[in-house]
Amino acid sequence: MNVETLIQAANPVPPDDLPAADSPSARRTLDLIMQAPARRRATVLRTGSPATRLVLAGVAAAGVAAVLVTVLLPASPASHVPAGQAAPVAGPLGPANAASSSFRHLALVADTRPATGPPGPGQFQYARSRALNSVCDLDRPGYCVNYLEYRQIWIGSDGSGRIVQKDVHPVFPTPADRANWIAMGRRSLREVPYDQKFGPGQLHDGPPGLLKLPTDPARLTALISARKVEGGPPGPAEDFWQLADILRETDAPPALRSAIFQVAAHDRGVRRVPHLTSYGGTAAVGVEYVDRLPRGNGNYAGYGRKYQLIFDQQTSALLAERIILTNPATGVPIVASFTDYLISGVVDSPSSTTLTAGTGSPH
Amino acid sequence: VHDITRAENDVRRDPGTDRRSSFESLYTARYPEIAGYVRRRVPAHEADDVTAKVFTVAWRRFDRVPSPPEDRPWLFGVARNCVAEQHRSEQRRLRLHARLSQDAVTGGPALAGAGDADPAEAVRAALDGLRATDREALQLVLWEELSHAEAAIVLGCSVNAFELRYRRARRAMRDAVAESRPPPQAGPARVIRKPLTSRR
Repeated sequence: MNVETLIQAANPVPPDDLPAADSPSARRTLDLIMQAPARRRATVLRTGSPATRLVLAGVAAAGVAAVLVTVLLPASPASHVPAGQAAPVAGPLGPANAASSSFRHLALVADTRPATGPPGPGQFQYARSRALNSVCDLDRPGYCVNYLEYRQIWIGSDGSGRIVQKDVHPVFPTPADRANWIAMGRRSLREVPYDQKFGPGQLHDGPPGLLKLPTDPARLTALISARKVEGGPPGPAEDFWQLADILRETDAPPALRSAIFQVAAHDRGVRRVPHLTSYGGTAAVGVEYVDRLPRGNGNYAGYGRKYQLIFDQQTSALLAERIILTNPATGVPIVASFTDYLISGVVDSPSSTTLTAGTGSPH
Repeated sequence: VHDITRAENDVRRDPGTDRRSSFESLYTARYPEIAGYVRRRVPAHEADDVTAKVFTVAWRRFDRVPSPPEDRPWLFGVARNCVAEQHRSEQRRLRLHARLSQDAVTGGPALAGAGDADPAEAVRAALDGLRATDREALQLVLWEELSHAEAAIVLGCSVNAFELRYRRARRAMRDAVAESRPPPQAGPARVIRKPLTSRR
């Protein structure tokens, strides 16, 4: 039993118990609703999706090892965090700190990049990424398997498209996982490939109104802090996550990307990733938000957590994202998840992976 | 399992069709899953009212309701807002009640703690401990049976951003339940994994 199965079993209103639309109360409700006047509009405002904005970004990050289990990174600095809180671990903050400098450099780089528009009619924004996908079987004694998940997305200007996903190279993260898998009868490790086509309007690829976001950093900061760009809880960790959501969009115009970097330069709790100068052979700069896992995270409570974004120094493109947990007792870091953004650009069909001229990364 | 394909055929809109009958088709097709969404999130005595609000919004803005299948995540998005509004109202009411009664009142749905005997309650309690957006990501996929693409629309983020949040939530949930796993169960494991799965 995996965690998805557990959650499904905890559904308080299972699919078989959904209320019927032809029940007396449902019909009564319908009658009441239709007694209200309907608002009429002169034109139909929404018949399709907004202009296409694609998600994935990045240049090839060819040097990443297959399934990462541990990496050698310096441990988080020791800091006391009250129990139950995921407080940020303070870095050397202020205008002159290294993360701010990195973001300001990236903002300058982004400003100089040529704008790339969305795909035209019949074209698709294409992106390919590679991520760590950890699948666990929670039946006792239980085991986890790590896969490399390759994902491709094609999104047309009308919101139609295709997603292809394939999990390969299963690796047990620990010898205990392998031993438990054997003890449980060597259940199949094959993950069924996923290939799904979507009709017009079915693929939505960014926060609503992304292209209309202000490029003034102060106004953008206010919108993000007020959760007007995306919903979500308050706090600097969520700020950082939402900044990443926008930077991950490939057709956010250069001015907007530059503004995002300027906003990020003031994000509390963000610091530069030490010792990181390249990623997959590309000159890179990394920034990270650091906190500690609060209670409720099982055996990982109290672990340090680093959410890292790694950018191409020359183009400002997002190369990768990683979450790294650090054992506070041993200092040993574990890569909890990563996504490498391999390639993106415009192609001519939902099966093509050949970018049309001048449309590829950077984003 | 709700037959989405049939439902979509039912509500596919004909421009010449009468507005009322079109809305009725939409209502008939989508009512069960929207009502289910609401019932999972608000007290039973409030659920019918909130569901009615969702469809009242759809009726008032019917010209803006996208055609199938886009109407599905659109309606879930409206339902999400209506549920949030109901929760805010409930919080205001509880605070008022607390002031009036001089008692400390804590809001939120009454979920059992992790130590309760019912494993489902323990899982729901663990879900309740997640960040709101992470919890919603899991619930939209695993309870409402939305595809990741549809759930991304409901949450207003990209498919890829949703995928990252879903993974983060899944991991947090796994860690949270790991210490209170249910006892071993007989039979083969049901590996239900639906990344980005659409039932269409």
